[in-house]
Amino acid sequence: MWSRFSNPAKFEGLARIAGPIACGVFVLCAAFGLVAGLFFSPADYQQGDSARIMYVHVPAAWMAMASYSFIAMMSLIAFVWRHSLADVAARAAAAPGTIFTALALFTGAVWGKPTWGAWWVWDARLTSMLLLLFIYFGYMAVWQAVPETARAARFARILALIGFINIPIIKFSVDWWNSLHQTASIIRAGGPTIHPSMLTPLFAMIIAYTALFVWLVFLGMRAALARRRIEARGARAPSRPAAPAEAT
Amino acid sequence: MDFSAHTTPYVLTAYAVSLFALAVLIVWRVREFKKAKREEERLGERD
Amino acid sequence: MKLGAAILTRDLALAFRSGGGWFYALFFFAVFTALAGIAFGPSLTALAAAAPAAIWLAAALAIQFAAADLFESDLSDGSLRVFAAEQKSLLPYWCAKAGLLALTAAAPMIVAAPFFLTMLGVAFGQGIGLAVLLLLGAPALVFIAILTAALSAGLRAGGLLAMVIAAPFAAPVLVFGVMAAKAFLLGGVLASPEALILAALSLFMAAVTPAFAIAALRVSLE
Repeated sequence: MWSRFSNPAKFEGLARIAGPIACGVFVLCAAFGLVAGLFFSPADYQQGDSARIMYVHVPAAWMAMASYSFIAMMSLIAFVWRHSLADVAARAAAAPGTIFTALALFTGAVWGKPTWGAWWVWDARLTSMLLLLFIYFGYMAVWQAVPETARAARFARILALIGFINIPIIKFSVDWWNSLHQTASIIRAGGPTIHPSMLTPLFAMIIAYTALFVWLVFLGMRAALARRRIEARGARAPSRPAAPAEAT
Repeated sequence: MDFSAHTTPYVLTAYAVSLFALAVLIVWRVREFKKAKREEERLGERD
Repeated sequence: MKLGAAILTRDLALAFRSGGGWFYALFFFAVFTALAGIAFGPSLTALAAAAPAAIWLAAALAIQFAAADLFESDLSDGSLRVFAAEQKSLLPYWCAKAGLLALTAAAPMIVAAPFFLTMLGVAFGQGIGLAVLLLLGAPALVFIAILTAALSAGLRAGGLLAMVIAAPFAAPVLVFGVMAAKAFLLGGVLASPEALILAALSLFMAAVTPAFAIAALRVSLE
């Protein structure tokens, strides 16, 4: 199946259908999740309404990590099977992943202030998320810094993989670091247990964010492939070619 | 203890910034895509 | 391995002949430590509290900057291309570069550390203990620096890019290095769990980074 969709033309066909479907899922789930989360779910008995921030914080944090896993997986596929489409997919996921990470950090801070009194604490989860943001910065920087796309892709693959290997180490180190400085507040996603009436909007928002990611990646990939075809045409001789050559 | 009165600005800020950031991302990607498509079609007509 | 030794001797000779360029890491270490002393204030207790962090930051930054142009000259004059074409594996080359960084950047810093630490209110004897901890964690920093230098070799503003890339990878080394230093200064324990983890990180980076660094070098040759 993979090799069929590694053909850019076949991929375009898939993306033309799957992209709008993902967009539709995103819009529906987001609408439902927002309304349900803001108006029809209960306020937390301890935190009050600030617990509603969970509906934009948890999906963002989840997608921050899922996006990077996607990038790492695509980089591995590109590395092993030389599917250049995998490189395109990884690059298309970078900006969304970075935004999700930044949003996770921001919404986390905004949640933290009224609930636990601080905008920022150096706890394990926040610190790991901050370092993940820096990993995303480095990843995007490598794509930007190398002018030749094919070479940039190879650097980016290496960085994505080594970054992925380091994430457990980072998590381990900040967990250790924090366990010796036990803070009174243990930041958890909404309290000891999540009430079922809160789970539904939460799942809806998680699905919405995931669908958004899928849609954005399809859009990004289609744009990148179109640009590649444009460049291939520009590189050809000005006289009419016999048959169009597909850039890989 | 419900202190919704003073948490509302935080909730609104979190949601507003999230929606804004995602909207910017969406608009940017869609425009980038449309621009690339237009370019490609223009070149296709020329050939 | 003979090739690796030959490269190392050549690089060392170049470094010494260039008249003290290799001192820069040591100078940076000194300057940073002095700035830390100024920034953390005249009170010796405040300084001693800041010393573990300051020394590890100084070491991490100094090694990272020292590695910035590790591959530049070999890349630009084509000798890296020759090595890659003639040798089956670039591992001896990587070893030579690791040795170069270790000898010209890391080793002088570690040796000088107890002296600089007295500026931060740390007794000389204790400074030696902190230098031992630096010795445990410096390899990890060196291997990370080589990897990021390979990833940014030949690029404009490569040193800055390397710094950005290196930061998340160096963070665990910083975390455990500072914790081990505190465990030693406050608790008198040198072989603390943190120190052992520091050594483990160095071994881990030694095992994992060379393959990626070599892959990156091959990409930069294209």
